[in-house]
Amino acid sequence: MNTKRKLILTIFFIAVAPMGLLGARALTKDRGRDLAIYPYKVGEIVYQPRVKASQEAMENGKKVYEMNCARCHGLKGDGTGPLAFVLEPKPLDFRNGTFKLRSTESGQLPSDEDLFRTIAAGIPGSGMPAWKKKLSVQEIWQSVHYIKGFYPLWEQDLKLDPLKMITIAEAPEFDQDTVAKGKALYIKVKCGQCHGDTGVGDGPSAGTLKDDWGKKILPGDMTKPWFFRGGSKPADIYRGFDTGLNGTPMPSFKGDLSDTEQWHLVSYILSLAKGRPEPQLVEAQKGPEISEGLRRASEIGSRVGKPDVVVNLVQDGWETWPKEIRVKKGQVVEIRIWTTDNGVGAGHGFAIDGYEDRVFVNGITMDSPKAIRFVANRPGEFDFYCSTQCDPGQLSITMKNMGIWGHPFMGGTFIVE
Amino acid sequence: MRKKFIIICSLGLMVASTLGPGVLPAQAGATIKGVVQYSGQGPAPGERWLKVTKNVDICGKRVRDETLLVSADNDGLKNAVISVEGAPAKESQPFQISIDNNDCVFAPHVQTGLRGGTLLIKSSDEVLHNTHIFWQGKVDGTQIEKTVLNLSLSMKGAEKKSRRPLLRNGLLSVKCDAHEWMSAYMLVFDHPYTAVTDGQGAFEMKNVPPGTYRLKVWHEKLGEIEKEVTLQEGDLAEVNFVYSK
Repeated sequence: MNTKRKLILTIFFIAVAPMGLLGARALTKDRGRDLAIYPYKVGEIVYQPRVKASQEAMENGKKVYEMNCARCHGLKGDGTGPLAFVLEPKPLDFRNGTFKLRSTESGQLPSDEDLFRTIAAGIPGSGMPAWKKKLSVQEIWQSVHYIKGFYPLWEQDLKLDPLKMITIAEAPEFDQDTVAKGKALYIKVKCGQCHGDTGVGDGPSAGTLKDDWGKKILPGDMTKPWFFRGGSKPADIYRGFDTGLNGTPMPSFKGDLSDTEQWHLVSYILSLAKGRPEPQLVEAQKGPEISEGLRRASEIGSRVGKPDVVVNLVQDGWETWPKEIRVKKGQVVEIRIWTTDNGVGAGHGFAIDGYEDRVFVNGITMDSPKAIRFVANRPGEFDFYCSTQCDPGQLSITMKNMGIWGHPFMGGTFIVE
Repeated sequence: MRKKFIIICSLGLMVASTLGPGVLPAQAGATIKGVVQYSGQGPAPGERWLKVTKNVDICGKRVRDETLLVSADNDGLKNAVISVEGAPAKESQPFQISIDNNDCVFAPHVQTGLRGGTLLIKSSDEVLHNTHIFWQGKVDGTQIEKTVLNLSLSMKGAEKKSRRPLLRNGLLSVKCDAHEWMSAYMLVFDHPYTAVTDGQGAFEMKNVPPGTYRLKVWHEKLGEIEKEVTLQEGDLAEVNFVYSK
């Protein structure tokens, strides 16, 4: 396959594949975001009504899976769907019953609720979206049952080795004292062997780690909890320490520390979180009708001077907040775009219809966060949307004109009064 | 009582079979002993080493490569596993095997375990080890390699126990992700009629119930070979194996 063809295919898959998400455009507006550290909050996970495994559930699960999951995870559940080649990290291969995110002991299968939660909430720092936006509770349960079928020993394993659930007590209050104690424990149990002395993931063993499929894997960066696969709430970190992440080098440390000590360690790890780096100002990149005249007119970028309005825009879980940006005509607007969906294939863009000559950023996830600054001198209501990173422009526009966004939850309205 | 045994070469292997004298042992069943040799594979490899890439203060600069150990004296192959295929199962008796992380090397490198038993994992090193165990087997014709346990050993003297790796028959490969050169194997059986060859390639197993069996040899690098053996009460069978090309 030549490069050009590959590029076109890539664009096609990135732009068109998530169209399956279009089904439910109902956007949740109550999902407040804490920009500083933990932007990945999916809100409450609703598990009811629960669907039990049955022939019917499996058949429906197969449909749901093939419509939604197979693009990445493959029809055979082997992680080689048509989109897989652009994704990093790679979609999971379900065939050996190995799952990172569990509430069970090391080496065990996940519980049904664990699988449900992962599907519903998605996985930060990966291409796995929060499917609760698109699928009903029943559909998620059906796909849980179907996915289990890819590992032939599932039921046998459960009989042989009944699941032992990790229980987590209430998290205590954290303060400087718990952080200091946690730091000593970080050294004692030698987290730094992989995660490094400062937690950035540069320990002595970091360079030689491989996952269960033989692929190179990097230790988690403790300073970026918004990328923690299992979530960044204290209980999520506590749980990961006990369960380990099956399929990765991360072992279970269960029993190495007392409950209290383990909370101290969690406290220290959360203290390592840096504020997210400041967005770097970028120029409009690939506007379809980019005007050199406008560029010279100094209406975009750093040339427009200090912003009158700063808007923090979050992209994560393939969704964008806020849904509405309101400014006044003539104001210098800076939009700072924070994305937690990293990885090649989960890349995002940002563009505003009617302002595409000034606001059109590709590859938001690369060296994120990024910001764009421009003069809002055209009054009216405009759609903003995810232009997706590989999109040279026209495809997004065409799709938008058809009422379709590449990543359909990632839009909103830009209002210039 | 003296008796000769018929030993059938299987798989067309060039196997030198020696028929040994039978001696009536004190215990019930038969005894099988013999030597596994590397000879057929060409010149024996000399001592080989693996480079240590981290924690050299604790691990040293290099560790012995144990993946293929051949005696210079007799071409005997160390760490081959001999098992009596189809021997009657002995279910879940209390049984513990252990593996130590010592100077950033797993000890022992190869061992057998009884299904239903317990594995004790230890560390003798003041460094972070993790003992990451994979079960390997075929299910419905598909090869599956699955993590069955991955435990940290964060301090010298750490000890952890688990029954999880010994719940199924099969091959377990062991690695330490923190120290990528570390490797070990455990073979889990539902009967105790197994042996691991010593530095001279020699093995012995006792109290094998009478019967006709396939005697299987496994080696991590050289694969599997087997012979058929018929045992009667009180027999001492000498069965030798040669890995040939």
